[in-house]
Amino acid sequence: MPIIKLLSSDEEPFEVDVDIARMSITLRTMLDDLGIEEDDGEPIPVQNVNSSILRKVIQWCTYHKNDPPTPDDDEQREKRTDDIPSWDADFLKVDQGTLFEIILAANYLDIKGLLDVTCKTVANMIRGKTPEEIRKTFNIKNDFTPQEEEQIRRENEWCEEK
Amino acid sequence: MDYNQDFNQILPMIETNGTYSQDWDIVSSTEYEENDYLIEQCLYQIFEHLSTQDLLNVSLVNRKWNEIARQHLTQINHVKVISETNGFRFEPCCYLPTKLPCSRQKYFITSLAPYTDLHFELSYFDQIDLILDRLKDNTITSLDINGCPRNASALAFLLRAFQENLECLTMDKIGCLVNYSYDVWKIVNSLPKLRKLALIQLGTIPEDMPILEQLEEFHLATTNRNFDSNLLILLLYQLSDRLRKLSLNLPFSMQCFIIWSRKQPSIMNNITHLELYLKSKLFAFECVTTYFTSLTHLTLLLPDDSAIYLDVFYNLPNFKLLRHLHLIEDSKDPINGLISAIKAKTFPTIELPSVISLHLEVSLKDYRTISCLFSIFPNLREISFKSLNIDSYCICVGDDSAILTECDICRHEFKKLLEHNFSNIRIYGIESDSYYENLYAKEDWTKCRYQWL
Repeated sequence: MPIIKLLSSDEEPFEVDVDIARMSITLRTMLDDLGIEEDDGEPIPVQNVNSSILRKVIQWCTYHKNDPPTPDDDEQREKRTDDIPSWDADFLKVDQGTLFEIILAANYLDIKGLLDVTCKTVANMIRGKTPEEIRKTFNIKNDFTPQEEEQIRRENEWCEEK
Repeated sequence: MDYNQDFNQILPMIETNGTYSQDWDIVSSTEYEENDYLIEQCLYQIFEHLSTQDLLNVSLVNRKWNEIARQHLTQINHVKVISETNGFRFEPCCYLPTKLPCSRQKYFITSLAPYTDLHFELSYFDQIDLILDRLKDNTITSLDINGCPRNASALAFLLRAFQENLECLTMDKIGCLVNYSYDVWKIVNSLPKLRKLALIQLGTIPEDMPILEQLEEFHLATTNRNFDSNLLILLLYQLSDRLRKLSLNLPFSMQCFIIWSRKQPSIMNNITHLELYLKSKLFAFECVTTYFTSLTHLTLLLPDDSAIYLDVFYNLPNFKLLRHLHLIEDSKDPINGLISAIKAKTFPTIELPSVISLHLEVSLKDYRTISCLFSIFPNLREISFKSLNIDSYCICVGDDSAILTECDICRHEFKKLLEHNFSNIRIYGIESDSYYENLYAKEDWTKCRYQWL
């Protein structure tokens, strides 16, 4: 199995199977553009991902390397959040900071499956919560004035369940 | 790396300060813009998985989340939903969010700007204030109101909301406006861009109804046999010489129409499109040809009576400008008035070269009848008619005059039809819409056509 080297933003090298690296559309494009098929000594820099997150990403990709490709036609698929595989659910039992970093990394590296499952995990943390509960969960400051908040509530009235 | 800090703690910092906590050493402030974009993108993707209700809650969290949530709420506002059970039913030109609960559809009028057509059913006028609030700055040009408001002034309020842009107004089943309809008519008359008015199942009209000066197109239809024909005359008197298109679909004879025609010939002269779904009487048609000298489009409902057809055909040459003729027979009997008239010895020898389009809602037993019509209408480019002989109905559409039939008997006459070089031919089954069920792939039409020719 051909191996390539990835270099995290904090300059830690990772040896990865080419097939696993190619699960990232960003890396696949890079490899194709540069004509790299295996390790030629020069590590590929992954500038926006630090070593701890890159390690997690590689771990996820390694576990999912034999998964069937994710369908592209996102619009056609039902948006469910209750279908997170148990391995992924355990894998994503991390603090919110790490989860956020993984989302950013999945987004940057363009790994659709990982992005999907991490976004669903956060969506599940939001689901069913009131605005105040959401703020509390994510420690977010309310920057609306009471008038603005009231205005939004009125605008939302048309489709609230009653 | 200090992961004790929740990732979401970063968000408000980014949103409010544009800088990160000192504890957060992943990105520097110089990378702020790029990461802010990434965070927005991530939130956008996260929100994709939320229901409408969750999105509404999210929209109240803070400004940034509100902005991103709204993109989703707007995005799902492009799917057609027609509610049959609630107060508002939006026809295909208007859209509702897919996730909107049925029970709330009656409230939903938002982002009207992109839409030009709207259909209302007026059973929830209790919420008129809310509705009007949603209708601010709308660009609706065509409004279809169906039903009668409980509140007398509600309809007037509603019409005012559309005052700026409304060009076409259809009012269906507003019969009980009898006691307060003058206000409604006054508002109808004050809609500055209104050009087309259709009144369906109208109960009555006020005696002091204002003149509908700006109308260019007027449709009146009712099946109410108690509708006072004097009211029709009164209504027609309110039309002006701007009128170009007139359609009357009423359950009584042409007599009152003729009375009106004689009183206001100047209006008749300007009308180019006339549709009469009235009970025809012998010799009534002469009056129509006398006054409607500018007609280019004529639609007539005719009884199964060859004498009436003969009357019509005798008088048709008076329409020098007529280009589109639509004859509808008020009968499903296969022995129909048109065929009898054509076969009659007294059928006139006439030629109508101006007519290019003939639409016959008449059941024809064979295509010889059609062939007879070719001598009357030598320049026909379009024809449509019903056929009784074709088991598998025929449809002939488009520029290539492709034709399909499985009926051997008719092929010879079909070939004759094709020789006339029509640009458009439609042949219906006995049920006028049955051809829809028998659509064949276009390749098949072409194949059949080549096979015959």
